[in-house]
Amino acid sequence: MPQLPKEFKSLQPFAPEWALATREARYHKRISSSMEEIKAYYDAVLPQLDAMVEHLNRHSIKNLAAEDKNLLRMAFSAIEISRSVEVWNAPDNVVHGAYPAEKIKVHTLPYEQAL
Amino acid sequence: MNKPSENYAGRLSAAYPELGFDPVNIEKVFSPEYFELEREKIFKKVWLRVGRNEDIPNHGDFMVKEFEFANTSVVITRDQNGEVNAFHNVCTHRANRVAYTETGNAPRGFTCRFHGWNFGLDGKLNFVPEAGLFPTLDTRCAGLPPVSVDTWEGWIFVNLDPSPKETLREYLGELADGYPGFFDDKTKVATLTIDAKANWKIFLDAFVETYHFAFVHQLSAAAVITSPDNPYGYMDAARMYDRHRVISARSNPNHTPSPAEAVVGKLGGHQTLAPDLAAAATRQLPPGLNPQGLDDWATDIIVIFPMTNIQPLDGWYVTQNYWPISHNETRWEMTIYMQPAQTASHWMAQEYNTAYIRDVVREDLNNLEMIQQNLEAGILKEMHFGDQEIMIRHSYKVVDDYVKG
Repeated sequence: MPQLPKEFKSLQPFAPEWALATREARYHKRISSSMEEIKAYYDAVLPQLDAMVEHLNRHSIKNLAAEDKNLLRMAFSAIEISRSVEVWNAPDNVVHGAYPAEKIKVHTLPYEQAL
Repeated sequence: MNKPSENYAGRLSAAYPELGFDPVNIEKVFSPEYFELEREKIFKKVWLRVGRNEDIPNHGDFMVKEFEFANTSVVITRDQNGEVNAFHNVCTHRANRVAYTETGNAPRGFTCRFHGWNFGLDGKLNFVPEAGLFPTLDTRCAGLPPVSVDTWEGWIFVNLDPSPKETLREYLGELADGYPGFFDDKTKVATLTIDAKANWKIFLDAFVETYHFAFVHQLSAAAVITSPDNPYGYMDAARMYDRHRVISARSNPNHTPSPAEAVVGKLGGHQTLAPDLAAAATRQLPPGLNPQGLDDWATDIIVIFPMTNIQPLDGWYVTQNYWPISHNETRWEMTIYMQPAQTASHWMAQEYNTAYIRDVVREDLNNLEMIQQNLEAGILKEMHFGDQEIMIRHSYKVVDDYVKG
């Protein structure tokens, strides 16, 4: 099970599902989750997002410990689902006919290798 | 959304009376025949942006670009002297390719896998196995066929015309001195690509006005562009040059960021679509950017003819190329460049923009394929481009001038 830094142990129950390494995995998790699941994670993570990023900023991004990498993945998942809660009230983009995200190839970001 | 727009009517177009206001005839411009002319008279003749110096920083680095519109593959290399070179990806022996991957490092050049002919990073034919088999071969004349290549502000451009009519600098004209250094200190964050069923001009047209934000992006990016004072996202400072064009887009000065956006903005250096206007006001921009000094400036949309779109924002930028594949298919290539990450919060901003922009452009893309279907049905004979769509009107005129020239 992916471990989080002890300061964020309240998020530990969410880690197995949301500490995901790639954007594809996070997006897939978003669209395959119910709004209840998304909302539960959002409500737990958003109040701590500031503190999570501040915590991560105290470490070198070149050499993140395993639990800090997991924390960053949790933060990235929070970003991925934020629009589901803040905009659409649905897991995916509700704009009529929105193009399938799967068709858009997103080439690797520099930090994906570091993660 | 009922603010009268009379004051705005014609404000951008007034300086360009030759573009007019009449509907534009579209009966020919999306046809296979017209595309043939675009291929021959535009895409095989002008300078095309293919990447940045940082894409091939080191000796031996190379990238391969597929140009379907010209049925050719081009290799761009960094040689031992640090120079950038470009060649057709074709062995002069029996026409096989010599570079087989999209990118790579080949300090010893390229060896054709058919019969082992080796070419240097400068294109010279270096080695022919059993050279005695070719008693009349002049290796000096059998290098990889060169493609013209040049750079501007770190951007690499190629020109498929064996003898280009203009240097890259002449080609860029009014744009050439506008952005010194702006692109240098950012780094490539993500590239998004699709091959979609729509003519390249339909793609280009979709990303040069913010009139559509109140509708297409009603739930998403409209919040950062439109405001009670500017409900239809009017743009300003339109500059129509001989073939290139630029316009400035305004932002919503009273945008309230969502909770997630607020964290990312605050800790990630405000590199999101919603600028920190107070901070932005203190920044020194290069002379080409925000020339009208808009205090709610969001971005300039720079279109380098024919199909490059560069959008500098406050401290970061987005580029797009709309590579034509055929008359009704386009390879869309969007790249996001941001400040190199020093901290995890910069990574957060990079991740936020990549996921956010992906979800916003999804709202644009489906429209484009529907438009293409309608165009192919041939129902409409003309389209209407309003004052805020002057970039589009200009584009069709320049393309047509080239095609008829």
